[in-house]
Amino acid sequence: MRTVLCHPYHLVEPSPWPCLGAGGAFFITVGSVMYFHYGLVQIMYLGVLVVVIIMFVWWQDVIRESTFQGFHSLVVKQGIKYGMLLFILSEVLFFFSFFWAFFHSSLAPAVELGVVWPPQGVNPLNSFSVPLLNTAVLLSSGATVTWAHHAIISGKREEAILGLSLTVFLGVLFTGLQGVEYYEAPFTISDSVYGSTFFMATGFHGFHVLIGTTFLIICLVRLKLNQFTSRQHVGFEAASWYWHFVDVVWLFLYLCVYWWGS
Amino acid sequence: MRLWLAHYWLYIKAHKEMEEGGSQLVLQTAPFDARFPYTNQTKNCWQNFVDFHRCSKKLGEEHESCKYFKRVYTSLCPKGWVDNWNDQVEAGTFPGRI
Amino acid sequence: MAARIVNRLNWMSRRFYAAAVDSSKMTLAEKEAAESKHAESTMKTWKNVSIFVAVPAILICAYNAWVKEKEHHTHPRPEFLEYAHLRIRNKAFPWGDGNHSLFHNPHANALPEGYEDEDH
Repeated sequence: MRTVLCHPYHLVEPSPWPCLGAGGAFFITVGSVMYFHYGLVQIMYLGVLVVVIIMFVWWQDVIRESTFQGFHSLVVKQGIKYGMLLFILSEVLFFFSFFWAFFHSSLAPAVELGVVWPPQGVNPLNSFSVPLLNTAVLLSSGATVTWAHHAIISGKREEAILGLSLTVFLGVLFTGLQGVEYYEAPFTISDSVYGSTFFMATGFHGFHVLIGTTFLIICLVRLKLNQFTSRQHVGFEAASWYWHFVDVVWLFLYLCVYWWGS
Repeated sequence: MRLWLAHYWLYIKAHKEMEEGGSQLVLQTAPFDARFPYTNQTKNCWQNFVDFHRCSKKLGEEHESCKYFKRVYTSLCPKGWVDNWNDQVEAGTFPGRI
Repeated sequence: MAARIVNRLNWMSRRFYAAAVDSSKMTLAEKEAAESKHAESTMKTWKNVSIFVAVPAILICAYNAWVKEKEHHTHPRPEFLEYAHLRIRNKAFPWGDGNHSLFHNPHANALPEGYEDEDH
């Protein structure tokens, strides 16, 4: 079949995924409430399962349309970049609220905490120990992902795979070290508003590191499958933007919550 | 409204007593403290409670300057807070450093 | 705003790659070749940063963290005090027996009733 396009836009086919994905998200929301209130976990799992399946099939469609059918013209790519940029902006605002909660609680500590920060009886983590190592790991991963990016642009596939593999490795290393820190931490999420703000902010950051690592792994697989060219690799660019965003959030977390907050 | 009535009742009672017995009842509350200029006096109450205990530790509860801190926090703090804090001080779990 | 940012990014990357040579008289293939060449030198820069800056930095920080953690583990844990603002259990955790936090460490984290084990 031959398609003649007289415009640079991509008119997508009708798709069941937006509606089904919304259904999955609804199940996650309701399921989470059921889990938190009644310990009933099955509905939440069902929602997660549906959303993960929809992610696979929806993005499979997108990859087919872009990589194999060539529908992603410059204009379409521009639109996708706007979308990613606005998504990251919304994520910035999401984290802004946790920083707000942190500063609200820490700048004028309540009398219940002894009017001190960290609160009386809370021993914070040493910010110049593992958290500093984590900062080095995450900043380094920013360098390796840029290495991979320029390798893709200059058509050096092997170098790109190496750089991206290192980035994924550093991402996994960060998650592992954070896991150790979480286990070793002398305070828990229920230890005053210090624990609440600490684990809320760093926990959501860790969750975003997991998402970013998954995104990079997908890019690595696509790189190995020769799905990126030096001119056509929006998926990789989106992943690297997201990774840099996660990196910057960590920098602020480190400076404010770990260092200043201890 | 109820708070105002209570104050008003105290005011009338004090005046009556003064007229009847010529006693020297002095009504006073916590003075203005420049460290706590806003409406919320929570930390003023807290600070005077902590200062009272620090003072008592050094000079003894009956010392005149310690009594001042006690008068101020008694005026400012809700009774429930003071009771709770006293229990905590006794149990060694008061969050302030005394 | 978002449009300006994306335009700016595109403009920056264009300028970035075209800076080395006069691109006005080149064919598309030539331009792509020039861009690819420039990207290659940028790639080498970041590869060098990764190997000669990032790796040593990680190793130094890892050694530093190792020493600090080792030193830290020689300290006895703080005494258990029943502060009202710590170990709050307004509602049971939705997992396990509802009294242990998700990353519970019996050595470091006390329950509302106190530590579960003896300090060693």
